[in-house]
Amino acid sequence: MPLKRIGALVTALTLVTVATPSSASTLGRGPWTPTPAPVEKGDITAVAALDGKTAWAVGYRLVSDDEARPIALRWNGKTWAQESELPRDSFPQAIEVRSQSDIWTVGDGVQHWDGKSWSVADFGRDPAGYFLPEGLDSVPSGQAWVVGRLVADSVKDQVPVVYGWDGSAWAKQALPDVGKGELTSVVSLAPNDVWAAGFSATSPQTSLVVHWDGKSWTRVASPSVSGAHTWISALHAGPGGVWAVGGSNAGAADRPFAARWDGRRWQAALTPNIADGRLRAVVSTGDGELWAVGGKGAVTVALRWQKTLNRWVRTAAPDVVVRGVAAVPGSSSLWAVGIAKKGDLVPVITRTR
Amino acid sequence: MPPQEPTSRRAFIKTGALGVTSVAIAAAAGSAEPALAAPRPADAPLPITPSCSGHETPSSVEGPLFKPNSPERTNLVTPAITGVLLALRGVIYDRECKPLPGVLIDFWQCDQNGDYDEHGFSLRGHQLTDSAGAYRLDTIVPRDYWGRWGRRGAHIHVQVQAPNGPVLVTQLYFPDDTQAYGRNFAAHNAGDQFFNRACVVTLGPKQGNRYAGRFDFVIKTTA
Ligand SMILES: [Fe+2]
Repeated sequence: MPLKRIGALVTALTLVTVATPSSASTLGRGPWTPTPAPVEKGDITAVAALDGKTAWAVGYRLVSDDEARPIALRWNGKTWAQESELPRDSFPQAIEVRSQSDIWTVGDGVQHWDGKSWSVADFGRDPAGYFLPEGLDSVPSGQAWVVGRLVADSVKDQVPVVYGWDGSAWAKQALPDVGKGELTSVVSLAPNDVWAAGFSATSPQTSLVVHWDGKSWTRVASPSVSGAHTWISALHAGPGGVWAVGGSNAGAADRPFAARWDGRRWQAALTPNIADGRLRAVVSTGDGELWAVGGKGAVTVALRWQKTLNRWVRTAAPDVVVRGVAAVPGSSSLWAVGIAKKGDLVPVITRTR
Repeated sequence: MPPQEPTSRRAFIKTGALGVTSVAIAAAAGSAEPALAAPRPADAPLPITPSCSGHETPSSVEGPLFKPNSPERTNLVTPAITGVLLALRGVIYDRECKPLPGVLIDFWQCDQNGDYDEHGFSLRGHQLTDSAGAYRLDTIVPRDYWGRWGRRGAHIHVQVQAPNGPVLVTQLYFPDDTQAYGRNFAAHNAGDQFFNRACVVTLGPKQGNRYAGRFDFVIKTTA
């Protein structure tokens, strides 16, 4: 895709000079283009792509004030259309696409799509609380991981939890005693190399990272922002190591947080100080670019890793309340999904091209 | 479904008795909305202080989304928060209608899209009442929500505690004619299992994108 990529850059640079001449720190709004979402009212909460012509997005459609239907949308290279309805009340938050007949979603429970229908994974009842999954990942061999929290009565009591799928059943993993908190994200590099991260509900709240070496899960020291609540919302194995992104709050607005495993230790990485610019996703594109995207409400933020500067730099962000982001394998393209900043629960799907 | 504040028509009908109790409490507390004061020049009009009834503010469920260690602050409006602004003011009294200074008051709510911040502390904050027993909260009218945590009409969660006193856990609601996000507050109030007329914030007229609101608490100071 070299030609396409050059085209996108030219567009972006043109917009910098024409539309935002004073904003030298961003690349304008050029690269992000909305594609029509086939949902009038609702929410698009997660997206994943197999290639340029095949992607899925999940969320829910508000049929009326009394009825919300969880849905899966499919991209055919030209348009998005609803492919299926998920099991009732599943409220998907994250999606992992292994093939068009092997898709996992997590939200309220864990669901699996076999190409024809959805089934609900059975996790049984844990005496420690209600299982709320937040993130999932798999390796080509078929092993999968779901992380989240067990909620007894309230998030104030929640504890982190990991379940592993060996190809036939889910099994709760033994974690070290990490206290209260939550695991928000997991990334599996190999059957004996899996990272999970989130936050520990200490005072102040700190980042939490645990690692699976094939035998056991151990907590690994991770940086937090001194004097601030810190959290990790996403993990990604990309250029330069394993990346963790999230946010921190010292009492006023949030700011972005990023850290990297360089093979020996986790170290905080420099991010620009963007008010309410918490990061929700970190992905890398086929051309080796590393992106971190997030924000909350009216604030959207997109960062790119500048290896030569050894820091994250702000770039053009999509005009959407970002719920999920995905890279399109083998291309420089990204999808971002969520809701519009104007109007009430108007779903938006946008991409870079 | 996870632990939550379930609201469905079925749940509402089943708990009809609770609704009657709420109305009874509202009547007993005499908290019909008072007349409004004259508009203040540089601000949205502030409703007049309701007189203290001496009746304890009713409690409600805490719900599953309280996080301890919220930042100490009176203004929850950060750049992310662009809903209908709400300047909420009030006084915390004891049952003898004496204003209580130094009372801890902790607020948490969802944003203009119905999102609670579970990873961080957006729209979460605590403060202490001043020497006149007053608190001030600059925030937004929350949207009603529907998701993994259930389905609720618009509300603000609050915990109130006098020094060494018991904790009052309750929720504040909005009048049926509140205008925000194009939502039908009357319908969502009617369908909300926990809605309590005695805990409805008094609002002045909407000015632009802003309401001024008033809610006074009456709390126990000893267990
Ligand atoms: Fe709530």
